Amino acid sequence: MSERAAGYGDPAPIELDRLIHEPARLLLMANLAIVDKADFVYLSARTRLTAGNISSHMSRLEAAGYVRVEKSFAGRKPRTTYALTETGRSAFARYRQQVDGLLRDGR
Amino acid sequence: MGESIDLRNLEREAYRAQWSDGLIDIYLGLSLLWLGVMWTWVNEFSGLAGILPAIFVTPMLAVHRRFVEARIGHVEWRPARIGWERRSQVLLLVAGVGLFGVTIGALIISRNGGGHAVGPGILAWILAALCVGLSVLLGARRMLLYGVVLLIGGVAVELADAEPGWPMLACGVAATITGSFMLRRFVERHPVVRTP
Repeated sequence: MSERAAGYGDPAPIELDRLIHEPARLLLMANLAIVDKADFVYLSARTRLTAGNISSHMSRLEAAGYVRVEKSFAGRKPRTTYALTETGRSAFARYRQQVDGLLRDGR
Repeated sequence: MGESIDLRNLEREAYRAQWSDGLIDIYLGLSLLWLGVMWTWVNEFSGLAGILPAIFVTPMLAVHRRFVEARIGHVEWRPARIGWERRSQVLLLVAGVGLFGVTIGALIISRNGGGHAVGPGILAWILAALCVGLSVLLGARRMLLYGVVLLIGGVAVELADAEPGWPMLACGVAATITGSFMLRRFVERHPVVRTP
């Protein structure tokens, strides 16, 4: 029996949250984590992602329960506001912990 | 890259960006120019000159908010930032009212034949302290430079026994020019974003 099959020294698999791990979504999550809520213009200015990109990523994050989307009007202009939910904040904190641990210099 | 990428820096940078349009510098510069003119050439009502900038602070902030929100978005900050912002604003308000009290007091004493109630540099130094407060509140180091201009100007008018308005005029010109450059850069970098 090989050593691998016996399981000697096999590290536990690291299960990063792939929904957050995608670079554009990570950028969106990080920029939402530092505020209570922010509108579409803020995310667009901070991330330089296109409108279509932001919308599609936000739809996925909203579907996962990580982001809450509110539609309102500021005067006559429509405003779409995004905020991380408690689930989203917990998931993001967990993701940060995992990545911190993974990249920490163990020497 | 100068700063490390962490959430604290990200938040600080996002907050600072909200004040990078230069409008507050232009407002500060024009206010100082107004005060400088009043304290240098129109001594009659100079003690009351601070009323005008005080009146314009609310409309200026409303214009600033609309202008910035159209370009870099609307943000509601986390409770920690809001608390810190409120404490800083209260301190600035207290300092502003204190400045107004000093100028009114100086005016009344000099009107009653008390001569120069305060040295010519005192006003510049109080304004310098306000600039330092603004620097902390907005995370804007340039406000420290305005404070230094006022500080040095205050020393100069004390030594030369000159009119107290000169440091305000010097700093007013510096802040207005800086603000104008910042405004131009801000508009170039941040076009109005249309919400889909």
